[in-house]
Amino acid sequence: MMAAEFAFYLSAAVALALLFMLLTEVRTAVVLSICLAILGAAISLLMALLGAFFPALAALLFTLAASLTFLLLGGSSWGWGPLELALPSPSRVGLKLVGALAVLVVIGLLTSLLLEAPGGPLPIVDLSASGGEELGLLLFGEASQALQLLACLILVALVGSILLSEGEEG
Amino acid sequence: MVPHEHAIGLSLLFFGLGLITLLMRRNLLLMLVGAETMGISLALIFVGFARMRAALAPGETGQVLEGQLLAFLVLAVVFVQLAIGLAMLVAFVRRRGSTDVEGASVLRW
Repeated sequence: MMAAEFAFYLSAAVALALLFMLLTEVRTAVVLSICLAILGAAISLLMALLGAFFPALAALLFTLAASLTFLLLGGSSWGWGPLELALPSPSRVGLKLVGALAVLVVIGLLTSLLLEAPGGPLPIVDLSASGGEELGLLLFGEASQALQLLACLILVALVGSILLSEGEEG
Repeated sequence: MVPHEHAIGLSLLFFGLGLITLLMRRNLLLMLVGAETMGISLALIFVGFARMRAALAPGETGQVLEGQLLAFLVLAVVFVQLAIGLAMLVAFVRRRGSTDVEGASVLRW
């Protein structure tokens, strides 16, 4: 039980730090893709610790695919050098301070949980029915129209993105 | 277990950070990542609210499943948006030679 809480707050701190790094520090496509991959892993771990295993897996796969695309695009289209960055310096310093403060707050939450700070027992939720079988039945049963709509959307996005990225050479 | 208030608060924090990234960065690639972060945090909010519903009405597992389903659908739509955005970005870089948002100030292709 305590290990799950520890993992939740630790991954929350990692995700927060990465988000602030994304906001203030990222300059190259390689760093951006690495940050995005770790951020996706941290957020999917958060989802999994909240009992949502299927969305967690989807988030992890989607984010890894997106970071790989950023890596390939960054290397091939824009070069491996720094991207143009126009964030003013005072804002960067302020945001870094706010980011450090936010990460410290989350680590403080983690520490208070580890020290079993007073606040009453935490609610325990039965997540035994959040497995793939029930979700699959819901997805292909009641929510099948939403799934079909989503499939159409993905098809249109696929064709549209190919047409858009063809450019003048196509 | 982790309290659902913490999960929802954290998701809102992620959403705010994505919004700040979208508004403060002038690079289109990073703005796209900010929008994507907002979408992922939206999915996390749905999961957190599903947990809250489950905590308020224990035994009704349908609430948890519906929240997860909604989170999955939101994630799929967010990444479809990311794919389209990346394709537009590639076309934009080919035409303008830059990822700076200042170059996109004219709504003419």
